Amino acid sequence: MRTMKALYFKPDLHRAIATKLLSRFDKAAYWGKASLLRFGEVPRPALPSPEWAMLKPRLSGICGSDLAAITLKGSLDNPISSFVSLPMFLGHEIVAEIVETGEAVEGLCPGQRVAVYPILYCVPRAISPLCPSCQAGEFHLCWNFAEGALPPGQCIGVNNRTGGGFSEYLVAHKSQLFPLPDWMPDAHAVLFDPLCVGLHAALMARLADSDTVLVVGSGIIGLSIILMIRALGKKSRIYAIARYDFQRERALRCGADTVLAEASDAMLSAELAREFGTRLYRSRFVKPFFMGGFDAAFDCVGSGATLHQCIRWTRHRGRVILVGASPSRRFEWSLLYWKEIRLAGSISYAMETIDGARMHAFDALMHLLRDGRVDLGPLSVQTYPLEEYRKALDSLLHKGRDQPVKVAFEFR
Amino acid sequence: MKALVVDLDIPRIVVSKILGFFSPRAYLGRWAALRYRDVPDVELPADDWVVIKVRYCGICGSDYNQVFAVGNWDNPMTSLISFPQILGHEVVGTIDRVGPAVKGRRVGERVVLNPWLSCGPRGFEELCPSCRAGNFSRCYNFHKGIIPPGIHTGNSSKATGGFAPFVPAHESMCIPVPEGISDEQAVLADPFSVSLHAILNFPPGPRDIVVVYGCGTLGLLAVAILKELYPEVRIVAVYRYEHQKALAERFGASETIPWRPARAIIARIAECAGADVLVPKAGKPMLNGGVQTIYDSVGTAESMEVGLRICDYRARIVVTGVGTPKRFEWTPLYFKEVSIIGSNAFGMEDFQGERKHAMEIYFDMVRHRAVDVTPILTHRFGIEHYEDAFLACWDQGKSGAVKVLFEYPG
Repeated sequence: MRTMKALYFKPDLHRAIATKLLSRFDKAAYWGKASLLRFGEVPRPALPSPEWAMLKPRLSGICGSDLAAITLKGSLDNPISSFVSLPMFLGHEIVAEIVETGEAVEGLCPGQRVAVYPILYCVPRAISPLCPSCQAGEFHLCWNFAEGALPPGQCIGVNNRTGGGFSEYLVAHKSQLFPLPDWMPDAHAVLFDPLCVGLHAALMARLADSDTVLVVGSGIIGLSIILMIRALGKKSRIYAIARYDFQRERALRCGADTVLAEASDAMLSAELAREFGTRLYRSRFVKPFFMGGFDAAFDCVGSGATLHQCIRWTRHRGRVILVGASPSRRFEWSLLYWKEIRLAGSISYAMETIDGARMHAFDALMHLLRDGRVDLGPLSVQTYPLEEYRKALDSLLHKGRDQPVKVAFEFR
Repeated sequence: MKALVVDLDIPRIVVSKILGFFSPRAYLGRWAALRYRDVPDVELPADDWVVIKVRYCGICGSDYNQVFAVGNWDNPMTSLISFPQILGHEVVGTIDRVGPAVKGRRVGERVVLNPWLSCGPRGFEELCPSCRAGNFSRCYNFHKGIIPPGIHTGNSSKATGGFAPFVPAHESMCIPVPEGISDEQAVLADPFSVSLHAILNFPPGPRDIVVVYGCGTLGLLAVAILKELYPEVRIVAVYRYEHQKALAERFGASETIPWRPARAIIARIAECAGADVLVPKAGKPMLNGGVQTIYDSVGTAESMEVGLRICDYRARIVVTGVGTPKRFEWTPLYFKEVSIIGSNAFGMEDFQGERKHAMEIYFDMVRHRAVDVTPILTHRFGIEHYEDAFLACWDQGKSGAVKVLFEYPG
């Protein structure tokens, strides 16, 4: 049997307990010898059907959700556990080269470079007729993530069948492959996934030019949202909150108008109240808030505290968008009711409507890049070989030191 | 006059919280922050205010929360209220006295209270953006102007409420009750308007299956309003007590489901909506498919967690309930890209091409469409029997209470 090297995640109760304990002393325990993260030789995946292709990754980004799995951020009552299969071959932000195509794969050939749309919706699962979400082109909201010809898994990167971006080989359905033009460097294509997450969230907010927008968190998702708001031609006034100086600089380059340093809640509240020229309400025990405020807020951090901030700083009838798969937390929601705020979740992306046309988010992004509407300069990619995964992960826990915007594994 | 007063008396709140562990009477007895005592007669804060002689005053869920000290210290709304408070904002009565500058109201007129202490009552000539649009409950100035902080009658120390026989009100806060509408119908104008606001602002799709979560006052009124305005919609009501179930059916719910166990709600909604149940390895089951709109009049962590599991992809949960914030498992919020939308009270509403006060729309519906929601009036007490009134609210299963009123001699 042919094998490959892969980084994968294999839950085990004893190891989980040990890792949780050890991680209190040293975060490196999450990728230490007793951790749930394994690196080693595993069998290569086989093509599930003639409609699939064998790929060799060139560059694979580490997503916040990969890191969250590795650092055991999940909670036990999370139903998503049903939409993964174990062990999980991690990595879903993938630029790859085709090495073999099944007989029913047309128009693609070995040697071609592709971006991989990772969602394992009805089509890759060979389910017919399509579920209502997939019929509507909302593949990321598919009803069948645990059905069909594949084991459970919402996407490549959280299942045990396809391999993942952190494997030397993986398989993907032909519908998931987007050939890359020669002018597109790998370091841009590897950003398709987070950029499309940003695009989807930005579109969901239905922004107007006159809107004032808050982006909480200036990591890759926050930066992608800012970049995509600008790529869509919106003149909305964008405020971002950044933890690190380098993020602040990137957020400004992406198109934010004002970047506030992450500071005490009281200071930020006061500063924003001044910006909006509105009175700050404060009393004992209570985080300050004000009337008026942002038309829309994107919470790219998803802690209870940031969600509470978004709700307190958003105007009546404003929108708060929780971007990404954050673990559930308590948040003070009284003002959600009070200000009639709409709190919506946004995850992933699929077919999107841009400039009146409906197209796949990847195609949309390629148009935007080709037309020069996006400058990916601020989104630098730091690369590591897969064997140095410990170093790569460590840099994500030391953002102040290593200043990563996107960390990716490079394959040679 | 004698009135029911809530003081911000920390020792008393602490003592009643501790004793309240054993009996609800702790919140009503000797050591409670709530006391029935003599207070000075009502004063008019300004010349354009009136005094209403109360006929009925309903006990609202927010009054209940205040009396039984339900809530969290980190609720930001606490910065918009002042103490001591005489609660009660669901008021119908007659105008007893008018200030010298009152133009539109006269003594003897029967009115309901539009309880918002917004720009007008606070003496602002220039209105804030919300008040200009008639959204009084979202006023920017609840802490400013001629009266102390307070959102509505009952939670500002100067704008005392209907747990006393006389209530001060700005003339703009008085909405005349038309002929042919009884006091019993009129006292429901406030909660009816709350549910009406939610439904008019976030209406169901034409043939949706709609879940009304909770069958207290707001939930039952939502059922009645949906039945009247959207007869094609199929209403599924989640109830807690048997008497609520009977009322929900009477008002037009086609299905009723008990509030627990949650799994049974999820299974029943799956049947109603023809949806598949996904049983995850962890946590509660969730649906593929499910309902497009939920009106959640409970607003607790439990109702939201279950709501997120019975609703469809991209669905809306419209929340009128004010539960105490706690963690709930929110994965379907993003996994199904659901929206949770707050719906706060009422004001001027767009209805059938007109912009009218929600209470006036209610009166029109009573007069012209024969809407009658008075079956939810289950209990009436004199104010001196306030302990019995609140105990009826405390144990609705035993008392069969939905809306409990304080009644004053006519």
